[in-house]
Amino acid sequence: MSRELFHEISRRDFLKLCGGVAAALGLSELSVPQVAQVLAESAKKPPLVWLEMGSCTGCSCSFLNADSPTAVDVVLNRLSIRYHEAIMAAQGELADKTLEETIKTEAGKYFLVVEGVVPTKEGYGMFGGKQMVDWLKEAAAGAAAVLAVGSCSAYGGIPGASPNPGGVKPVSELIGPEKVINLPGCPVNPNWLLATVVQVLLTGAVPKLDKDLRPVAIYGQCLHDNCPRRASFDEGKYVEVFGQKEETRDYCLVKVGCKGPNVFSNCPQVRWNSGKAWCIQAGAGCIGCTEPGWPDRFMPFYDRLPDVKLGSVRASADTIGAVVGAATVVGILGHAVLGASFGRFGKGKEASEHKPSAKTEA
Amino acid sequence: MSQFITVDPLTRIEGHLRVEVEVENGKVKDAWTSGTLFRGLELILRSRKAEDAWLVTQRSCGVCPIPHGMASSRSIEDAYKLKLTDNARLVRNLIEGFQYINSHLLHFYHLVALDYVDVTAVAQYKGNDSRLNEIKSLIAAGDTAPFTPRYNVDYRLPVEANIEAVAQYVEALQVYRRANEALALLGGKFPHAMSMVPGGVTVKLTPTIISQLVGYIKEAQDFIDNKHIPLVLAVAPYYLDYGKIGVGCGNFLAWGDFPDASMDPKKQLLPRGAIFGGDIANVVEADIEKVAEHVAHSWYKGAEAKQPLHGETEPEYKSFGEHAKDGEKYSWLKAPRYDGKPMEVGPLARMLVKQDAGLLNLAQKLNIGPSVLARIAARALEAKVVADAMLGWVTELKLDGPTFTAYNPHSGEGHGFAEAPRGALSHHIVIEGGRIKNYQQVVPTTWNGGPRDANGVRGPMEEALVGTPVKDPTQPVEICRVVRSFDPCIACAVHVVDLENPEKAAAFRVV
Repeated sequence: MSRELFHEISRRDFLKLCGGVAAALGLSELSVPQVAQVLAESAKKPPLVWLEMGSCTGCSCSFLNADSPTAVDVVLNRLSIRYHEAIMAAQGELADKTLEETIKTEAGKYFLVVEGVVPTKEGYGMFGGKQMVDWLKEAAAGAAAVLAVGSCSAYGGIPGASPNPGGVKPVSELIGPEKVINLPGCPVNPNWLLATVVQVLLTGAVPKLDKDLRPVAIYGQCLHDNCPRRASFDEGKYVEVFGQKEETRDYCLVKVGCKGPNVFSNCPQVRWNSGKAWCIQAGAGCIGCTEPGWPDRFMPFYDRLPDVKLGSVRASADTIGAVVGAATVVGILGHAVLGASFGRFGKGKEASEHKPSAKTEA
Repeated sequence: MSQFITVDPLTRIEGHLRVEVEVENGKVKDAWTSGTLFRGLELILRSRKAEDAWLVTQRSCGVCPIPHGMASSRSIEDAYKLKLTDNARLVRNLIEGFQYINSHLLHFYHLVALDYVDVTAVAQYKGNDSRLNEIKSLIAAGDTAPFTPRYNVDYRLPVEANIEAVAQYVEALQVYRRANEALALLGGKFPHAMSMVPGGVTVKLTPTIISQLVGYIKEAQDFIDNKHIPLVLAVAPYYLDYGKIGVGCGNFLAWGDFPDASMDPKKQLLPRGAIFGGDIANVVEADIEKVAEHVAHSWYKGAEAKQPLHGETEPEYKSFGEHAKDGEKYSWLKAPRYDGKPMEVGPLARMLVKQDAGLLNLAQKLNIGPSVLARIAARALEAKVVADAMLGWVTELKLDGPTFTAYNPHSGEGHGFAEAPRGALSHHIVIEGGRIKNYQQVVPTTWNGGPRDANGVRGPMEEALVGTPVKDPTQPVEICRVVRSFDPCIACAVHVVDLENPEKAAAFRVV
């Protein structure tokens, strides 16, 4: 394969970036030029600090899967990634020093991305000889915005599942909800992360969040309502058990455990891995990884949700997620300030002040 | 007069690792590796439905979730004595194959290369490649995070080789992404795939998927054959001393992976076996019954080594103060031993157990033994072995063939084996009435990166560090090169403890 095939021209990537962002936010194609203009005019790459806590590194890997723009483009041209253990050249004291300096010199300007749960017992999570929870508090204090990526940092995820043996906590419980944008998912979808970063740059404000601190533009719609297999659900056509003929006919997976009716995300539209696939396309029901209380609230994974009325036009589960309102394109672009500075960063007017509903008890 | 050097965090690996070495006369005299994060999943799994475990255990590691899912599903299939359909076996082999491609490329280019490749050489680039010119202008502008700051020592490659390597760093990230797209066609998404349920796979094969897979595999083969392997061979002559550095313990273990239709562990593409005492021509059978895990120097109570499924664990964190050697216990990792011996796992172990002619010839030609260089070369050559086999597996797929073996959950005990890209992996399950009574994982980085055992014998990574020359103690790049050659993955190596309920933890053994 020729090198040219790999090296997409920057300009093209750039327009793809705008398209990908618009899609993830549910914006119309018409907004692409506006998004492009804002990005082109932001002269300096915003600094970003990415802290890996009690994580599996899956969210970092997911970030590397970004396709519009590519991770390479983001790292080189869109963001100044000052600290990220998995990709940075520095190590040891040099790495610690880089982190400390960024926190100091870029105070009020940097994005803080947090991946993984935060262990709170002494010795249960350390790097650079310091407790992870102390790094978090130090880095969050000067951050313009804190993006809790993945279900672990947003709500506790798998390590926070009962009995939460490590006594882990999600980010918002430790630093308060003020600066936190939760981007749950196991892992986070790279499009969600980049779209949110761009949206913050566009508006200079936290996007509209639901009561669980998730951007409504991404997590505002019930997955089940947008599922390509929704018609089968409405017609009462189900996969009853794995390995049967119905499975090959793309019937609804609710009876083999799909949690889609209780889940809020734009997975059916944005999908995964460059939009090539997603869980239900592979014949596997949704396991609810974007939701507070996951996984406990959604296990056993292969058991039918008790509260989904099969064959009804709408699932009763719509009410369970309790999402606050829906996003409006006009609202987002109406507030757009070209080259928005971080100095003006603050909660958007529409932002909800609710505390996250998920608690992971030590 | 000796000096202690600590690298914490040792970056560009998966997870959090602290490495401390004692240096005397410019050489490492002793070494201690510490996993500094405690997390884990086995306690969480207890009493949950067995078929849910594979979705949870994939979250052991986001870099290599597939083998964790695979080992988990296989442990249940072993417990229930299920026979996979041939289609299910092939789909799983392909999913795991793409996992090998993505992980091996990520390791060489994005985790390891920056120790050998000088990114700033691109400042001298004069061609038309748009990406390289972007990097060139960033260097000119002094805007080079995250590639700087760095240890600025011992870059030996000529300018052209550095530039080519940087170009490939960028390309490899695209191949990584593309391999994951292919994996997602079969698995739903990556990281953390969705289709490899106990009993088979859920994905429906279509002509479109199959033809796309062929394209993806050929793309990966092209990169591995024409970029990855040639680059490793081009870099090797400049770092030939690393063919003698980082030798390790000389014992190798592979459970093996990629079964053929016979499902015989010895006939897998990467077969099962063990090698002892550096006698690399002598491969013997490997038996899980000979595995025990030590906790004498790990932050768990007790000192006795325990066999899988029969052990017990109780956490006991105690800061060791300034130096790891001062602490009786200094890591969250346990120390697995085979027949009482530390074992190196990973691509080098697998390719030696396979007696791979390509690797053995290369080692002879370069006159190198088990070492940093051998591990890096084995990984590249293994990527080719796997990618080449994948093209065959695709052609064996049957569009209408069954992919699932039905079963009724009941009780049983099972072992599930897999080879993660970074080494031998086994999951062990006890099921009672369809629910998990006991679950444990013995993972690659506890094998490679665990601390000393009850007899004071160093883990393979610690052993490999001994003798490593360190030119500049303030920039100990040599230490990082040795450690990274093992492709350590700490997240899956650190597991759950329960301080509040030690009696519960005692009843349930955790890794």
